Amino acid sequence: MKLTIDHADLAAAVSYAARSLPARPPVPVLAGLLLDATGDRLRVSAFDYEVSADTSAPATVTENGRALISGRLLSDIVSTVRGDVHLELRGPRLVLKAGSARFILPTLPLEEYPALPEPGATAGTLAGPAFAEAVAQVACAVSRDESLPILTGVGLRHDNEAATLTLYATDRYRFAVRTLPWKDADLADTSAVIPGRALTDAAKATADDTTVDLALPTGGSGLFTLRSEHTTTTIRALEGELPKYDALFPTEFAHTATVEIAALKAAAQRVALVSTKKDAPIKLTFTADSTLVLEGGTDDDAQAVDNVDTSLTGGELTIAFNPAFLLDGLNALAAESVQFDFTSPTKPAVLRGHGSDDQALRYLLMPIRLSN
Amino acid sequence: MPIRPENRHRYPPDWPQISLAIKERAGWQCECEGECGRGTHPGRCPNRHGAPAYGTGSTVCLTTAHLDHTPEHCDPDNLRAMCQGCHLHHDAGHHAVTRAQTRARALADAGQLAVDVGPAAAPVMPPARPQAALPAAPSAATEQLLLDLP
Repeated sequence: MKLTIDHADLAAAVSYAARSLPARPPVPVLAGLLLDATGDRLRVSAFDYEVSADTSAPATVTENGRALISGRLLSDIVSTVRGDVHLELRGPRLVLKAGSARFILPTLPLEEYPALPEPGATAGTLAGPAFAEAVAQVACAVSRDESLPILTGVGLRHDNEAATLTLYATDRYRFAVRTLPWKDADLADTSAVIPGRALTDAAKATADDTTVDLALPTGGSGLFTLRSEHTTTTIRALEGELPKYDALFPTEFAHTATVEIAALKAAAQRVALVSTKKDAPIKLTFTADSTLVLEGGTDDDAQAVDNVDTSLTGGELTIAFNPAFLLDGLNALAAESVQFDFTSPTKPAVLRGHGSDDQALRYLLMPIRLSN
Repeated sequence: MPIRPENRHRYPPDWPQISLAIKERAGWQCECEGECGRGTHPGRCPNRHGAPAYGTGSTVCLTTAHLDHTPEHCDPDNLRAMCQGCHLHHDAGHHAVTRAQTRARALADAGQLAVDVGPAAAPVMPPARPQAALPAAPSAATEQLLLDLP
């Protein structure tokens, strides 16, 4: 293997693939990045049996070949070098030269490296930025509790008749749902749960691509694929299903209020400061004179109160939320104002962008029951 | 491993004697043959009670682990003398479940209401993860020179 490649192209390819390197590789070869120089491109891949990342960059290849190199080390090196980078495989070592710098890197045994999984056939196409935004919006409700594995995933549901892909996630305390229309999707209705962190990373990495192709797990494959022009990521789906969100979202409401998001966020952050416990509630009182009063703290400790303007229909209401869960939802809504829909102080509230359609983010938020 | 006060009643009254017998059975060497799942020792763990632990150099204090994480189950086949490293790693998944239950209970006690997600809310013990490579012993070929301070 012998080639010359621009440092920026190499750095982009290595950083794309290095996302999938396991922090604690079960076998040493999985800490490696596979370099494959063929024709006029250098292909860089990583695989840990759960996630694979594969990309390629233009290169002047004088000798085709493959090498497996420690991914972290290569990633650190390429982020510090500039100009043209020359790579040459000499026996069991890879020589990397850039400017006046020269590195001699040991290679890992290629024969022990697993074959990359075969990506699935494309199910549909989305705009890269739209998919990345939708994933980021629902990811705030993904559980980080690894003892509840299915809740650490993002559900993807394809509805063939409506030609939509719905993304959804829950950690039991909130439930985020977002729908995207998609083109060329011609397969039976299907759903899968994809590990949330891997999906977020993959979607972020293709956020600047005009279009991304998605393949949903079908039959025995169990693989989700996200593909753009020069990159492919596969992620092994989680086994099991997330609960059906249709049944959990209330459809009839007794109160509806609209509040400007920026003002509400600032006020919620202010009143949450007095809470000594992480999960202490903040109390929201929507009054008939179009004021939302936020209260934090307790009688025997520090207390805070603030208020913001609101418009309310349906009479006064007092409800309490975990401020972190409320702020996550407000941050995820891509809107100027939030519309709260309430049934009662002990039933789920639904947050959505004011004036948004049914496909925009819907964020179900469970309240905190107040003792008095 | 220290026993949590709320779990003390789950251990038999003669637990100190049982635990001592297991350590003596082991010849005061960690009996882990890979049950810990950290993948840093091929075959039996070399750590011995009171000696420095491989990789870290900290002093080994032998403990007695329940393979099924059930303190009531004190059959010798279910017990292994383990060094702290192997014991903590062996119990990591069990600790993750306990941590999650404690957190969920704290939220519920604070009045936090939850969505009914059915079986998805039942904790599952996460699989054992291999430990990151232990720090290598310093090489004899290099030596950090020190400033000679008066």
